[in-house]
Amino acid sequence: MTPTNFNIALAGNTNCGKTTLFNNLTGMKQHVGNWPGKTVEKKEGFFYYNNLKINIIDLPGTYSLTAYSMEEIVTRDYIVNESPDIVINIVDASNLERNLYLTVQLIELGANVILALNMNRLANKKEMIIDSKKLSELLGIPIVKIEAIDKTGRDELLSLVMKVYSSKKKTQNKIHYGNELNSHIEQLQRIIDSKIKNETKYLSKWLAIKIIEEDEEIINYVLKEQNGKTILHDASKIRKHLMEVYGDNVDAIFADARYGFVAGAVAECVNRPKVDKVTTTDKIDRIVTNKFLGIPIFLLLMYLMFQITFSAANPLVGLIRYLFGLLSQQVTIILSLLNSPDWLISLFVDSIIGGVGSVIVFLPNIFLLFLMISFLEDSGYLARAAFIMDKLMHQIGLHGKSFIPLILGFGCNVPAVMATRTLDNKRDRLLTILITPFMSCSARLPVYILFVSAFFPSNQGLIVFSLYLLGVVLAITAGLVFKTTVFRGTTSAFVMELPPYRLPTIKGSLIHMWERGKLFIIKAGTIIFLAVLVIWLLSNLPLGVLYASESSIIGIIGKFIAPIFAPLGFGVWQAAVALIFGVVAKEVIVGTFGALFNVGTQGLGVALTAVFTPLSAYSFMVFTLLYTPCIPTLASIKRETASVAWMFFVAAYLAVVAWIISFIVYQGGLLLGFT
Amino acid sequence: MNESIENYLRIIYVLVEKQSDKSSGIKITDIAKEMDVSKPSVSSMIKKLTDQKYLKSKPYSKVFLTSKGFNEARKITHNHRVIEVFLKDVLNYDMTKVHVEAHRLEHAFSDESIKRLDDFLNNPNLSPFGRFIPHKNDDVVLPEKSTLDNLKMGEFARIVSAPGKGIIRRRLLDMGVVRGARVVIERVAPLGDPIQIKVKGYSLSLRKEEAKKIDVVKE
Repeated sequence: MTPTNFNIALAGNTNCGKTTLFNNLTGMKQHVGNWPGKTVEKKEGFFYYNNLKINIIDLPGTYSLTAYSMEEIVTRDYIVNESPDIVINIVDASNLERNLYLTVQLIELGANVILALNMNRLANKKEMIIDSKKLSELLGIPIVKIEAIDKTGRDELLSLVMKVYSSKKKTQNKIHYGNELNSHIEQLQRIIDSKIKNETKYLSKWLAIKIIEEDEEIINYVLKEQNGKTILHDASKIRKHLMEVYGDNVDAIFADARYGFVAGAVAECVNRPKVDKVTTTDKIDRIVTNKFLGIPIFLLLMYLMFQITFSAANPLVGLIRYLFGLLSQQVTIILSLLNSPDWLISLFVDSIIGGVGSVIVFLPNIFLLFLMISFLEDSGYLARAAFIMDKLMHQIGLHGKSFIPLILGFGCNVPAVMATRTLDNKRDRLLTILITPFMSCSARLPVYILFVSAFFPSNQGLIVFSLYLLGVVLAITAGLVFKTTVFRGTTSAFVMELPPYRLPTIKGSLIHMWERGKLFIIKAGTIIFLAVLVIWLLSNLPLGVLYASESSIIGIIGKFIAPIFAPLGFGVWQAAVALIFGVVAKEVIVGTFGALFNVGTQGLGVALTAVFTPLSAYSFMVFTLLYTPCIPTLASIKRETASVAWMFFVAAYLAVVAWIISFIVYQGGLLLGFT
Repeated sequence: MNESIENYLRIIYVLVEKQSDKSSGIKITDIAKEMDVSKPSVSSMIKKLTDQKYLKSKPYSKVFLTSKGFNEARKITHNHRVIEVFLKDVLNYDMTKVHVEAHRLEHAFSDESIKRLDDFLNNPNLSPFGRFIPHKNDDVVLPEKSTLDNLKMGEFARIVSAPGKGIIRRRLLDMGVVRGARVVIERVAPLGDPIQIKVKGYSLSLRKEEAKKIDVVKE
């Protein structure tokens, strides 16, 4: 009997090979998005087996199924609400106990579980011998040994999936929590069965367990039921009793019970050497997290990552710019031949092609960055980097993993913001995002170069360095301020697994890279494109006006805003317009000045000296360093925080900070007698 | 030895364990409450114990264990808790019954039997209730309550309890930092923090400020 809609879910810890299996089964036939309203990645795909189309979803990696994290809630909600036909639980054989802790909870949830035992080769290297048949009996679920990276066990797994599905046998729950706990669970289960009359999608036993555990989500669910309050009252009596008997809180009691059950099963089915063998991972770690070598190695790797993401991408970026330039030329020629009006040519060339070009030009950096990050993550090194940097980061209220986005920010804030995905905790992610824009990105450099060559010819390097330094100092300050105000009282823990080192698969990394890059193109791309279009409109109206001149709408807006910048030393409309354009992309500032003063790059330095003084030039550079980040960055911020409010907050607070600091610089400078 | 004398010594030992300042004595009212017995009965027993040199006391005030009393109390406590481990782990008794049954059996086991039981159970350090099992040469009633951050590299210990509350606690529990779990510090980060421990067969890193809140007992 062939089902019409066959759905499988993959569940398991992070680092257990789950995504590798998903990628190998679906290849490019996968789609990455977000769970609605959440910042958790949703990966779905499909593949064919024996002419049957199987839909497969890669649930987020989790260690448990509590109500404490988005990933766990998303996972258990999916299993309960969507009732996948089979849940394949990938388990790392070399790390059985902790992996089985989740298995136990999947069984509790009532999922139809098949256990795929992965990484057996690694377990063998540790001289662990696992009797999977016995383990299967003790747990009450079928087990297949696989290696996710190749096809080992793949056929057995899939045919077992079909077999289990057609046998219609439900997973038996053989979990034993100890007599004491068992009897109380059953007691509450009976109460629930009698008091909750409507069909509930949850198993009553699972509800009983969760209620005793004080699971927030479930308690809220039960409160909505008619007899909810009585059930909760009975539960609290049970809870109190258990706490007296065990001398600990219910969460520890259950964790203990589950781990106890798992430990018992493992003791019976696994033969391991008396003393743990020294693994390759251990040997590598002795060097990589070594007291003296650790930091130098880390800095070297960061430098390499930086170089690859930005320098190696440059030829490609150059190529793209060249191609788009070519395209602009050709289109201009064609349209002129068709006698198109000037404004139409400008629309196509400046706005549309220019707009799309400004999106595409990011791609080499973005793709390379994602490739680098997925390499770091999958190899296991990212965890070590966080381990090494945490002490420093923690002092500013950040997490060890925040270091990487901040470093990337020096190249480009867009991938830097995206890199905050590696932070599991929302608070850490948000805080890191809030201070990443202080890292002076490479797009601001052309502005610095322009001004220092015109105003500080003998101190160019020093001045530029001072700007970078200012950025870092303000980042640290902002971090500390946020830590004690907006984020006060919310600390996040640094409780992080250090997985064994693994060689990432090229296929997996490339898929990662493509999926995430694609998302950037679609989301950020749309916004950038629209912004360019708007600016173009404002620069070309009223009709007939010279592009972005004083009498165009944008010029009028510039003149209107300019007084705000007067106390900062550059209250001229050209500066205002340049800064507005700079919100689209910082590198545009230089080109804008060129257009507004109607000079080529040669004469620009001279033209600027008419309008700026050295002091106001420095003040302007400070403003450029600090103010609202470019639209692609803002778009990424919106995406990574799933909130327009935070995006506007960043745009606003940075503008304010920029104004204040520039003010201090300019006015302070005047007071000190600089010009 | 007289059963009731043994019982009193054990209770007094428990009360001393609970004290933060081990040098201040034990109040008679506390003993009465703990044993659920009237004050006069306690008083007469205290007199007996003082006569037999297990306790030092002044009338109507606090009592202190002498070193003879301390040694005896420690032995009885040891025996009681080792038997508890046996009842729970080997005979699968419910937690509710373990204490009462141990209470019944402790007076019946000879020194030799206790020694063999200890060997059989591999000299456990922790009772099922998370209490430290004192051994013959332990100088203090409780060793400095050791915390995870105090362990030296390579030193094995067992978790007594996971810290505090909220998400961090939950996370630690889920990661296997549960009572009785065997842990060892593998390394420390180059800047001195965080630390990397091995628990449940894998490597976990956490900050010293969290490790400080996790009570352990060295093996």
